Amino acid sequence: MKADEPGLPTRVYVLVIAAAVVTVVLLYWFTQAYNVPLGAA
Amino acid sequence: MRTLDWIVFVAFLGYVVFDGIRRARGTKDLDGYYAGGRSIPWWAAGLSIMATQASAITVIGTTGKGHEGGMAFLHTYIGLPVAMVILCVFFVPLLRGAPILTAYEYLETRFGPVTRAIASLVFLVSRCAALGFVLYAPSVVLAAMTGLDESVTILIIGVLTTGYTVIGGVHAVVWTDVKQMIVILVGLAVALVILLVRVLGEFSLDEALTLAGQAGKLDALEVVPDSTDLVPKPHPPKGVEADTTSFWTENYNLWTGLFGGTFLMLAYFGCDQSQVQRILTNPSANDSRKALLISGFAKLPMQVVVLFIGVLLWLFHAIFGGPMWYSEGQAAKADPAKWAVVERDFRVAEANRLEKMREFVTASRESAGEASALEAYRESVRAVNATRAKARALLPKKKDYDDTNYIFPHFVLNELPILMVGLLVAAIFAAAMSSADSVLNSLSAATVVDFYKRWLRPNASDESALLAGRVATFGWGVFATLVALFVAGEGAIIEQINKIGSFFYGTLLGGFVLAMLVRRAGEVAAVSGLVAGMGSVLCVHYTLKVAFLWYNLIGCVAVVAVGWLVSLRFPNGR
Repeated sequence: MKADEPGLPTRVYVLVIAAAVVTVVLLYWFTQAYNVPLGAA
Repeated sequence: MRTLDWIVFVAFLGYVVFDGIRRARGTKDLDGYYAGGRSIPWWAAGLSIMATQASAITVIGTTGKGHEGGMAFLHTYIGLPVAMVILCVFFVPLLRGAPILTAYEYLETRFGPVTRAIASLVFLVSRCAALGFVLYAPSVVLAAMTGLDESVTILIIGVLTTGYTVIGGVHAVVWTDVKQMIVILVGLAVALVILLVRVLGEFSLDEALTLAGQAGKLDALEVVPDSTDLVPKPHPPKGVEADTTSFWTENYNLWTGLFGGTFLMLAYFGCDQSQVQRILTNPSANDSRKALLISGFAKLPMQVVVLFIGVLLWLFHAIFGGPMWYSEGQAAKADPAKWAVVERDFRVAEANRLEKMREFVTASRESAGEASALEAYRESVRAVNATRAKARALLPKKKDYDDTNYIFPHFVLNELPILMVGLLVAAIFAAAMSSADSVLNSLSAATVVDFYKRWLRPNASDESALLAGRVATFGWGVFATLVALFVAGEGAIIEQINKIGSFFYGTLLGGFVLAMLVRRAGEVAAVSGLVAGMGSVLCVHYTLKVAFLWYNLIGCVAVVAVGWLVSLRFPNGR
């Protein structure tokens, strides 16, 4: 086991967060573009 | 199911069991049985992590949620990528710093044996109650799909999963999970393609999205909360109607997902042995990080697709028709005469919805009378929803009947071509087994490593410890199967235990955060913190109206705050 090895490069984490941010922004756009709450009958 | 579907299904089950059993050769001692000899590649551990989280109820329940409530459930996963990065940076070095077999072993090295025992016990109690449900909930749905008796489907999942997990240990868990995850993904992809082809045969993509969106099904990201009142409201007295809405009561918005969801995912992936076990199986700490990051990258998009399948299912049923209630077994419990009256109303409302849907699309294409056609369409959707609510009201009150989990299976059985039905049923079985095997192996690890070998037989040889591991796995498998067979169906009590058990995830997380942040905290501070954390969550649950996702944050903060305060009086080493 090599627990003391250097961690993954920072850019890997930046990539994960950037991918999540892009997904969230797209979801926001998608919701704004299409969704209208229906409300009760 | 037709013969070919049965062949696909049985062949899949047979292959999974064979594949699990042949992994036994990698298990000569506890390190091999619970940590795979630290030789499992990161991509396999990563897929296993995803498969464990994708329980059968996730596959059938999440698509059902998409059908019924739209995409709002997605908010729960928004914090997941953040949680994975935090785990990689701060938790993995702790968990991979020594050759431990359970997450709670770390707590002993940092605080002491009592903290480890409490944390491990919290895990055992919460997970063993949940395990009965992991078997029971999908078994009921699978029984309806296959025509087998509920007890037979419980026994198939329980006996097969216990069998290969007892023999093959974590090697069997991980490598069967990989195949199960692939079957789950292929099954979902097949359903997605078939639904897209059928729905897009009637409307363009933009029209389909507009129709779903105008029915309120595409609420994928809600930024503005329903209430900005930051003061949580108490439960009103029984029989009294009162507005209890506050910022803390809404389950699905960006803020609950980002903060509450992050803490939930931190606790689940970082402190729940059923997940931590996978990151202890890799050759290096960086392999563990990569295994976690697979979920960090893939889980959010995967949930988008799964919920979108649910939305497409709703469109499919709106276009081609569907039953008023998706569980025939539940529908049979209502008064037939009253049910027939509501069903007649439902058919009228459903036909009207399709007519208004087409009128709205035609009006949009011709840009004439769009606004009034839209309002008529939205009103027709409300009318269908209202008849379903009437149908629900006809079901007996003693149990909270819900057909959400039956919506996807109904589509699979009635709309998919031959072979695909067998594949999808296999996928749902796979999802149930991939979650159950991980929980069995981790319950066994906590029992043997944290209790048997720590307190009862510290000098046990490799052979006898391994035997104890196999006996514990078998015992938990039998327990889970019996709970599923005889208790889970009764609902209330075991459901309550299950629910309360899951409240303490945040408390477990708090123990690890205290270890990292408060260097002066020792055993007294940690134990006080854990007790205070559990007490705080229970106190909040029984007094205030607060959404479940916040419990993890509350528990974690309480542990760290109380642990820090107590450490001022009882610092580490005293």
